[in-house]
Amino acid sequence: MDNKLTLGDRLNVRSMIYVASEPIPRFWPMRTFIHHNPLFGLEHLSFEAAIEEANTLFHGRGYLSRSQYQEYRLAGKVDDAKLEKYLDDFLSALPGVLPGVALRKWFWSLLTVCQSEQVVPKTDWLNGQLLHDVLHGQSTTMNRDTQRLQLGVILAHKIAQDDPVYANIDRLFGTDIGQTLDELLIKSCLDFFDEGQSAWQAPGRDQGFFAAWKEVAQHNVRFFLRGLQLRQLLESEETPEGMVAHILKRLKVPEESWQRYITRQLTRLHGWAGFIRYRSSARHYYWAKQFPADLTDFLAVRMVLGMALLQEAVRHHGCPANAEAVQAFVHADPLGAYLRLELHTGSILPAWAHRVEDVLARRHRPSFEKLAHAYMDNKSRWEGERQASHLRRLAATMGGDAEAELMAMTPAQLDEFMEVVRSWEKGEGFVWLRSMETHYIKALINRVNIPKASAPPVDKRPFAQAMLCIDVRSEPMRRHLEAVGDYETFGIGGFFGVPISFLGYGKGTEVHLCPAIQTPKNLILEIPAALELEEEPLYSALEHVLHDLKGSVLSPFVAVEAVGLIFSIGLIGKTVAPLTYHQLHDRLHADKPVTRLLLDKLSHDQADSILRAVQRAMIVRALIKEWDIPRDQVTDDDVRQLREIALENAQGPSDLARRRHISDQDETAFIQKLRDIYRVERHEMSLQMERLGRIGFSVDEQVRYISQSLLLVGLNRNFSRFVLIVAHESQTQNNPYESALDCGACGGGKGLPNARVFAAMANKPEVRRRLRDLGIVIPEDSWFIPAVHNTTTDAVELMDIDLLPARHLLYLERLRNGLSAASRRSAAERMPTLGGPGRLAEEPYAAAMMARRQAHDWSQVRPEWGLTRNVYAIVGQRELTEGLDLESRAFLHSYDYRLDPKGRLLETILSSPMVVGEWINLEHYFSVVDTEHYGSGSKAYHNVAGRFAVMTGNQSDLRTGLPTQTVLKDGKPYHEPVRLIVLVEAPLSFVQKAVGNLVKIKALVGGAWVRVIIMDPEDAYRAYVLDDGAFRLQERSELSMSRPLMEDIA
Amino acid sequence: MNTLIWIMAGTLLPWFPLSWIFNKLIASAPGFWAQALAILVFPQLGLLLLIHSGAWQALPVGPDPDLRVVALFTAVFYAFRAASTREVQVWARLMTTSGLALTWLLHGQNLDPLILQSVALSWSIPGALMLVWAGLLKQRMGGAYLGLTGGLATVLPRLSALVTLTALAASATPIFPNFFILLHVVKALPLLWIPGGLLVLLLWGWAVGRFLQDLLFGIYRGELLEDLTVGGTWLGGLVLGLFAVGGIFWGAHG
Amino acid sequence: MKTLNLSPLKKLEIIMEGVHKDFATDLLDRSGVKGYTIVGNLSGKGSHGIYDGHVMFNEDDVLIMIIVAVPEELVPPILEGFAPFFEKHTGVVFVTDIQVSRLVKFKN
Repeated sequence: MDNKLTLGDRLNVRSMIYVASEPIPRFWPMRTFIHHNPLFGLEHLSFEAAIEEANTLFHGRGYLSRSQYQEYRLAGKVDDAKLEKYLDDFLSALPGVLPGVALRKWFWSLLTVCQSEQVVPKTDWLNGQLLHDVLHGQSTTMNRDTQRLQLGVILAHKIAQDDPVYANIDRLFGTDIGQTLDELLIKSCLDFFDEGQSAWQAPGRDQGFFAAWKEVAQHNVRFFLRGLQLRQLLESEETPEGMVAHILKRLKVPEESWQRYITRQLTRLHGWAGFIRYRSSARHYYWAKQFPADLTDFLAVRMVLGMALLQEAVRHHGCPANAEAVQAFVHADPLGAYLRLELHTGSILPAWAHRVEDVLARRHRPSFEKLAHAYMDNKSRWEGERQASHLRRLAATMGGDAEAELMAMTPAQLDEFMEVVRSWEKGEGFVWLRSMETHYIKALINRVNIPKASAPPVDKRPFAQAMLCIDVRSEPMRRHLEAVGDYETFGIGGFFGVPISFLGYGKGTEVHLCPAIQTPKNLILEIPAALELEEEPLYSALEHVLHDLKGSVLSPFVAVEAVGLIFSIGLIGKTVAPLTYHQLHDRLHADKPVTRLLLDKLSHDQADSILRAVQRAMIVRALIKEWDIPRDQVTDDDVRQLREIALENAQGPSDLARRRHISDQDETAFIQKLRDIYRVERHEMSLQMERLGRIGFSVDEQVRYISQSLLLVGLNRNFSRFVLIVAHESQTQNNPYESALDCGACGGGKGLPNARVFAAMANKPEVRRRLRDLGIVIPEDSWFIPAVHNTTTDAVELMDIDLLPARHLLYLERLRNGLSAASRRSAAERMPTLGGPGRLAEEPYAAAMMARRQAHDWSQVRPEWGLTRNVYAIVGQRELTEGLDLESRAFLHSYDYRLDPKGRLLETILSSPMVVGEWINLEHYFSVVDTEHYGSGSKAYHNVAGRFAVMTGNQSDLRTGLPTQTVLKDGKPYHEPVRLIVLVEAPLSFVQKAVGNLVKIKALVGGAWVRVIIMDPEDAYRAYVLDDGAFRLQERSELSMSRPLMEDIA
Repeated sequence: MNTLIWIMAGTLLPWFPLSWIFNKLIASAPGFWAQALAILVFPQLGLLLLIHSGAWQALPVGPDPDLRVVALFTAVFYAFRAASTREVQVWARLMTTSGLALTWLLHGQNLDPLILQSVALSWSIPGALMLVWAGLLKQRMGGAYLGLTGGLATVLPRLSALVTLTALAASATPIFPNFFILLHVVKALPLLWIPGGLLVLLLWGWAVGRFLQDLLFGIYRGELLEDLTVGGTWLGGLVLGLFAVGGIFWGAHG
Repeated sequence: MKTLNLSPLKKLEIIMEGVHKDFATDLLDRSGVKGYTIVGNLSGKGSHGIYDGHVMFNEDDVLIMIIVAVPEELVPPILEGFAPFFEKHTGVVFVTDIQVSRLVKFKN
């Protein structure tokens, strides 16, 4: 019955919801957790502006507290010169002048020694006159008229017209609508979006979120108990957008404000909204296809519930029912409204709370005005006293004339002073941030090795070369590997430039192994090398049964005594002796079979014969299942005939049917089943052929990808005997965030398939022949080996060894030894930071043991630090960073600009791996700066929701971001929040041109979402830093080498 | 004569509607120490008056239904009011009134006067303690009103711990003597009246829950506050401890 | 020779950033159009700068054009539907008159 709403209106509402939802970051299901910028939707603004906007939308803070920055300053991590410069810039831009006040001294003390978080907090009433009176111990009464005007301003601000109506009602009447609404909405979402976690599923989910919810809501006892009457409301509109428009009209929200109103509603539960946003646009997401839902549905459900709760509040408390009525209520009785506001938002002076509550509860109110005026006088006085004490305390720490200066200021000067301090404090976080970054920028520029221009390229062949992911955890491994032997390492995005969609052996769905901004076009299958039918070992079959048992409703009554004890073995084993338990467990389970990857394109004939084989197998299975005819009683011809009939190439009846005297009807039914259920059908066949066509890469494609990746890292000559392609993955137990520790460049997956594909392609003679034509000569005895770096245990395991040519086996021992030595040394470096004793730094074997234990311990909330403490992204040759201990804080991407005349490779690096790095960096930044709003709080309180996310406690918004255990240590930030500092080794104009070609990257760099340093090899490696919109030369200095530059906090 | 005594007793060992005077008197005492003292002393005075004037013994041996009605009603009514208030002093007074009213249900049993006085004390002591804590909160925050900001326990851990324990004591949590007294009172009621007694217990539980909610949970937003001194904490803890020990004895001896 | 029956329709050419493709197609589906064509990897110049059509690993930051033929009565609702979107995003909509021969493909 959308008779009031035209099609145009409905589309308009949908469009508004889409635009309103854009600031909300998408939330990927945790199985494929991807680090992303929480302010991704605001990247069109500059960094500073985006933080402010996000503050309004999500109430999240964008910078650390002043005291934390002061600690960093004392530890030497802040560049004082820069701090002073920003202060001077600010002071010189001030319009007015305060004579007799040493402003610089005041502000410098504010920065460096002030202990209050905010020296000039927000106030309702405070002005210079009042402050003056308090400072001089005089009493004041406010002029009633000014008070009334100010009251109007306060009320207009705090009870704004485009705030949600229920929020204003909560503020005025102390009802709990906001919280109740969130709870009911979350519960409805949990019911609908569940992905198999609960044993009982909600009904009717395939009709869409709003439709299914509507059905259930009318019979929902919980709603009924709360007194919500939804039936009438739900019957008024059919479509969700119609419902949204209908309710907005009923609430009398002016149409110009609809967009903002909708944004406020959506950002309230931005975890859920972000998830639904992701889900509605994810084309391959199984659950989204089964049970569709989008933000319009979500908003409609929210608004219906909100309306119902509002109506209930109106019935009980007699409060206004729409936006206009709220404003009228406030204007009719501003004093009452103010007192209500103070009481119910908790900002009332505690001594008055009881009195005010009493007075408001009575119907008629004698002496109410007197009380209100007395309260306002008291409140203003209290604000004055608080401000005075802050300023006096600051003056006391400053010493000298500060106190006298304060007392000498006139009221007008005090007003100006407070204004100046207020505007400074607003931008102070950004000043600290930039000063801290300057310190890190200078540190890097001073430490980087300058390659000697005169040195000729070395032609000695390294023992082995390795390509590792740019991930910060590869940095220690590369450093140690280069130190233990003659190894040369390179950095490249963990998907090695080959985006694939991977279908693992035994899995039902494809995984996209490439950066999240891309969709792979090629499918790679994993096939077991020994093509025998696997027999499930008894143990895993048992396990299957047992775990199914856990989900049944009746099992607690039946199984506990009998079966419970078996589970306890696991429980005790995993807790007391995790390593031993897992070794035994692995032994009892079947080994993963040796597999090969199908990576060549199938020819049409090959695809056809595969399809034929599959169809034949299907028909055989159908015969067994439907007609009970075993395989040995059916000839190949029979099968072929049935196939032809099903594909409409021939007519029945078939010989088989005739032999067995099966009626025509039965046979037709069987053929129909073949078509519908077993998919032996014409149209299906062409679809399947198309899908099979996705498999693999053509030789052209293979050559293109390999050559691009090799040129990207600058490896086009002097190949060694072994070229390791090292992917990385993590290994943890009981960790909903385990994908966060895997490879971000592979979309949160494990990069091993990419490594295997790359190695297989690079080893092919055909590909090598073509590469030679392109100028990349790979000698015959070079062999590419895929490997996997387990970042939790630091072990590097070589894969596909069975494909190794015999000659190389002679050197395998040396390679393995080198790798394990590097692993142990890496572990020794890392374990002390994870709580291991300091002596482990000297005991590699013990450290490696501890690392292995971390990977198996299910109670471990911090198995590894992951990407915490990342600061730098260095794009250039290894010579720049060779031998430098970057403490696992840098993304290292190899790049040689001389191989990239057109700048296309640099564009590739900037538009893909650098974006991934930026996302990772900002995810960590915001999670540490505001652990409650942008981070996900403590892991200890997390509960998995519906198998795709975590909530805090029993029910809450979906938690986005990283948990405190990842970014804090002992309650203090362990990750130092600075923006990613990208160093590019290439000529200045070259880089500027490349950036200019990429609209998005230009916006990122211009908006200062990353910091950029360019070291120009053609200009004696001078360093140019992008600062405040322009490139400025930064000189190297040797002086600062005397102080240790990068210290541990621990 | 008798009526006058009843009225005076009713103001001191309160039953509705004279309980209103009881509350007013306590609230008007100057300073929180005086209030605490008042709440300890008044019921004792009332009891002494009743016993020495013989009015208590003059009560019929079998329980008097009118008195029972009034006593239970007072208890339920004040418990209900306590559940909806967040001001600590008011809460303390209301809960104590509610508990003291139950003393009237012990009439008609031949109980030693000392026991009666202990009964009254066991309600007054938590009330008095709570009034003291309220006063201390008022000194620090300007008012003893919970619920304006959550998480006070993070800023004032020692004081919050004492407040919590006292609140539990005031609402008849086991090992404190009130629990055993309540049990005794309810046992003495005829079967049809027992739900009334249980209703009182229910309401007390509810009152404590709401009371402590904003004290213990949430995030604190506000100025830094000075917590109770260690010495003060030990003293308060000692009183509560002794109170609890008294409860164990009471329970053991029935 | 049969004479060709040509019927007038309106053609909408919607140029926008590729990342919003799903939103636009969803909106068109809901307005009842029977089909559309998407042209990808365009380059061009707009108020936000020059778009280069060839970016290797990034599909979101290119321009696309959606071509759809609709009966005249659908034009105002569709434009109304896209109005909030184009207030915040780069892109344009061109409306032109066209004629088609197989009307049944475009109209119910």
